[in-house]
Amino acid sequence: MKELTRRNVLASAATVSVAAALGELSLVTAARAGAPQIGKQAAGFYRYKLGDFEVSVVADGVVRLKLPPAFVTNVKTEDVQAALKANFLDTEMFNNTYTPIVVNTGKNLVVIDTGLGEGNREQTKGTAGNFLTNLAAAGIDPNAVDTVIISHYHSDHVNGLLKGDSSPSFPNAVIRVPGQEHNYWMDDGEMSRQTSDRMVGLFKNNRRIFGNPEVAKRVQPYEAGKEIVPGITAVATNGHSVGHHSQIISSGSKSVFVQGDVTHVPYLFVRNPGWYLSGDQDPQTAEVTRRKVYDMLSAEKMMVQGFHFPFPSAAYIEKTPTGYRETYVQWSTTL
Amino acid sequence: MTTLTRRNVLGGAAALALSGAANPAIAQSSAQPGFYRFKVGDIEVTSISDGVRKSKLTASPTRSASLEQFQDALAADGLPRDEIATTFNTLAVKNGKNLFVIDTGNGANTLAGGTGQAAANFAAAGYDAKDVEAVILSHFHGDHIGGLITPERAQAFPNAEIRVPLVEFNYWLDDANMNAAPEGSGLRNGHNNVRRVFGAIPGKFVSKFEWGREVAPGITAVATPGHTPGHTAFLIASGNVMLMAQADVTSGIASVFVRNPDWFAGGDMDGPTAVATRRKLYDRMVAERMLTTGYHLPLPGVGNVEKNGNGYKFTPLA
Repeated sequence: MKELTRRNVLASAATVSVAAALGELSLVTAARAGAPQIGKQAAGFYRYKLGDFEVSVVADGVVRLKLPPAFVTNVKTEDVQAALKANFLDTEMFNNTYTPIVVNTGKNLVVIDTGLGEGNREQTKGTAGNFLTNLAAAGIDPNAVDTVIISHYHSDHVNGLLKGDSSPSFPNAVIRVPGQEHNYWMDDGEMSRQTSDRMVGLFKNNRRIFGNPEVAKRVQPYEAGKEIVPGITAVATNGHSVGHHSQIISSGSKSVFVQGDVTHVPYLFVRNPGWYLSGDQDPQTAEVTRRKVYDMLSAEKMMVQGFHFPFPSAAYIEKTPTGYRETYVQWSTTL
Repeated sequence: MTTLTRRNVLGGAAALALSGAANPAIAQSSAQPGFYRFKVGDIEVTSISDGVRKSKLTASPTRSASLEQFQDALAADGLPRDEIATTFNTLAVKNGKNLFVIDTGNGANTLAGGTGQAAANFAAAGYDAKDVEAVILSHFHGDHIGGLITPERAQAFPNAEIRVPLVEFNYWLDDANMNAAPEGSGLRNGHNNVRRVFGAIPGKFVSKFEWGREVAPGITAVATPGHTPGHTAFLIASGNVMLMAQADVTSGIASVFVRNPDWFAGGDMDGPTAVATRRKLYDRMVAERMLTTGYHLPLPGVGNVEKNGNGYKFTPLA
């Protein structure tokens, strides 16, 4: 190797920069016929330690759709668009992300919510329904999962219980469900009183999922205030659905609040807790729940994991004069 | 429903472990993706992580704030008070048929310290170092130039031109500047390191650019001195989308200096100039609603900035 001196470095570089000034920047390289753009995102998982536990955030994917009319039922579409713009997003489109998590407590391997499932993969042209694929990329064997916890019975949370061929996604797992939620959706009287297409569809979907004998035989209810498995405690957070529940995962001095759908996307509903999501079954109760939960999260500085938050879907919450504000966790590429 | 507090939620939890026996089939894993891909108009950009360097926080890293003030700033982002984790993200920019890299990481000889992972993550992201048309450097600090060479001192990007800011080159390669730095000082080590790295690269591979010039198709050099004399950001534009690759305009634990732009970051060689540059560039990014990447902002390493009190707030791409 030639010894570097200022003289020979500057001299040779100067030669190059003359040519560069002539617009011939690629002097040393033949034009390489480049490969096409790759067009694929990194595998959709992200891991963090929570005390002795390991949490893997595993993306099911995203559905991009035109901003639905009356997506927020109690404000004007212009207000929604202004909030999207304030978050640097397209004001005509809405990106709905779905993000289940997996908790390895050292003793249990637990999935919380399941995404749209393989059955919706084709319908979304492969943008969602990818939970099992990303789970494999994360090195997690669905056969090793011993517990699946469901927050509520909307299809983006329960459909992933079944694979595309209607066999169970987690064949060795107990499926722990909020008892009140289960009873509501399985009640024929409740079903008979529904008038909207959405609700009728959800009732039918839940009967398809929970009527599947492989699912039905694994279902066990859980209750608010009790541990579902050691270190994961259920919290009643109804409003978005009748029996909606969240979970608090605790290990050592660390806790995370796994909220389910207490808020939908943060840039609309965390910042504006009084906004009613069209999917909230009881929006007034949902708002009361939202404010209680977010007052706690901000007061306790507890991390929140949000099913519809942008990946990896974890944030801290501060109170603001008009609501709350999310600050996303900073990724670390090493645990 | 009663008021929620951590105490009454957790306190009510009976030890109702339904599954008393441990699941024998599970092992924890530390594997984690090390890149994130996004589009800027027609350009495909990938944030490539070089890893994380962790150290105990025992003294304030900036003379502008006490240890406690610094810890409060960390806590505002949910970060631990007793540890700093510095992250490093290089960029791969695929523009048309050509592949460019902006900054290179600490170098594979630093793997034991948690960094030096850019080469492996670059490969994991589907790229081949031989295909890189040019490596573009923001400045000559070791965490940006270290990855230019392999531990065997070969060129890590064997076919790439190395495009460097003229002002930066002239500063670091001036022996008078090196000799003015005390022996054994960090600055002197920095000068030595520049000579170690560039000594392994034949001069014909190095080209210098001036601020304001297009250094590659769609990539323009933006003067942002202060962190180093020739520190350069890059404006990447395609269609009506603009991305400011700001490099070390906020450095160290970058989020702290986003929130507190008037603090001198430890690595800022000229604090007052760095602060003026930081405010000017951030005000521009806010006004023009630009996307921004930061070399020391953690993955995804890309997002937007907005005004927040006396400082700014960074929100990752949703």
